[in-house]
Amino acid sequence: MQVAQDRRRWVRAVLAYTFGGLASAILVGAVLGTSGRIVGTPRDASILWFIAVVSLLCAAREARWLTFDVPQRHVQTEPRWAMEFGIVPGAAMWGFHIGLGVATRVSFSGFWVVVLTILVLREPLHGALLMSTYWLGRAMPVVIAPLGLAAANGHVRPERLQELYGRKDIWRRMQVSGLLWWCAVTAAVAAGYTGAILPVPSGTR
Amino acid sequence: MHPRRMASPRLVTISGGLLMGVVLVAVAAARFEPILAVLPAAAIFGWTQVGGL
Repeated sequence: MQVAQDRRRWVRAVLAYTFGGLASAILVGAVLGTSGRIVGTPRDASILWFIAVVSLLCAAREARWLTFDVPQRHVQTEPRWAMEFGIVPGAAMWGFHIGLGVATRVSFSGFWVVVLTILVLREPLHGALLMSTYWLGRAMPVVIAPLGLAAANGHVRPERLQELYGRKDIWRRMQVSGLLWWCAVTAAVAAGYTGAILPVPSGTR
Repeated sequence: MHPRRMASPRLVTISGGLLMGVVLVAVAAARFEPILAVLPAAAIFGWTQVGGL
């Protein structure tokens, strides 16, 4: 009975965390897309080539070939919220806080490439889609960790989590792969603006 | 623990399935906006943040 209650509470907390973050991610993505539209960020081949180059430089950073800082707040979310408001409301608040993206630590540079691209897309819906996809990727380790890292009694052994999360070489390689993909896509679209590869979206020349 | 045996096959399967789902969404979205082909990379960026903490 106790195990079932704990499991139900865990499920509610994880759902609250995920949907809390989704709400703030959608909000941030839509605001960024709208901001790009209001400011009138240019959308032509040159800005897309710029994003491709930035992606490449960020990939070099994550591969330790270049060294530069990325903008971030060196804080994490507030652990006391769970104690003050309960585990489920606290989890929702954590999710919302972290889902803002800029309110807590940004360890790798890929986040800022997402932000830059949303500003260029100038479309709130696409911005919301990109940022919510980023958030869902961020929330997934919380959701699926017990599925793969649990001991026979169903509890996740903290040392296994720490071991996995401590493998920064794995995470860096994944960031490099993502950034190279981002570079390839934006370069292909930029080349498409000259008619070389992909069709140009209507109304963007 | 040997690092290669940290993740169970079930974890790998679920992770791979989720990524495939994002790829399918990206393919559909890219028909309207080609840049949205980057969606799987956005998911990876989010995923890896937990490893940088």
